[in-house]
Amino acid sequence: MLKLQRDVPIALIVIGMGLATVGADLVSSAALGVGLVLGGSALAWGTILVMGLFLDDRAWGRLLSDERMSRITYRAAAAGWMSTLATLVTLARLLDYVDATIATQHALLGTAVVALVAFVVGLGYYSRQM
Amino acid sequence: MENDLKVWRAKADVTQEELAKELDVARQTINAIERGRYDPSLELAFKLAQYFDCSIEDIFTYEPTDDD
Repeated sequence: MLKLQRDVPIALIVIGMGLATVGADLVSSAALGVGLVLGGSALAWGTILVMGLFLDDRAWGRLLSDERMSRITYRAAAAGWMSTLATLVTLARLLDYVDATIATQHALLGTAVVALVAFVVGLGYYSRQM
Repeated sequence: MENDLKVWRAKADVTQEELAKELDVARQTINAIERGRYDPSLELAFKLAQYFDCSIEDIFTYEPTDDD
């Protein structure tokens, strides 16, 4: 069950990223698309900055809500981060040989999806394991 | 690490939710400890012992395995 108060940081980041990617892709006007990219990015980055700069655990919502959840978050974040690095390393050299027509921006978006999926799957997996 | 938290909680007649609220953790954390899936921090172990007015060893028992 989604509890808004605890899930606010995650919700804001996901909404920001969604607006900056899918949202900007769907609108017909280029100016509106740029606006959505900048607005969505500002929302996502702003939320991440608040989470990163303020030491109060409450800024992280559910992710650091107690000691077990903190441990789960650290592991999921580490798994997500390492998956991201591995994806970048693989794509950096492989794209030239496999399919040179894949645009850099699509490769970057794919990497972002890998990072997000790895983190979310990690949260679910570790929640069941510990 | 094994524990008798469920027994102590039953003796005190408190629910997981009530215990979690008292110790400022999530109900899932109490559940995970009782099921042996999560070893709490030393701080939380002390809080549990203080809550039930017993020693940590009364709740938690440590038996080294071959790996240790």
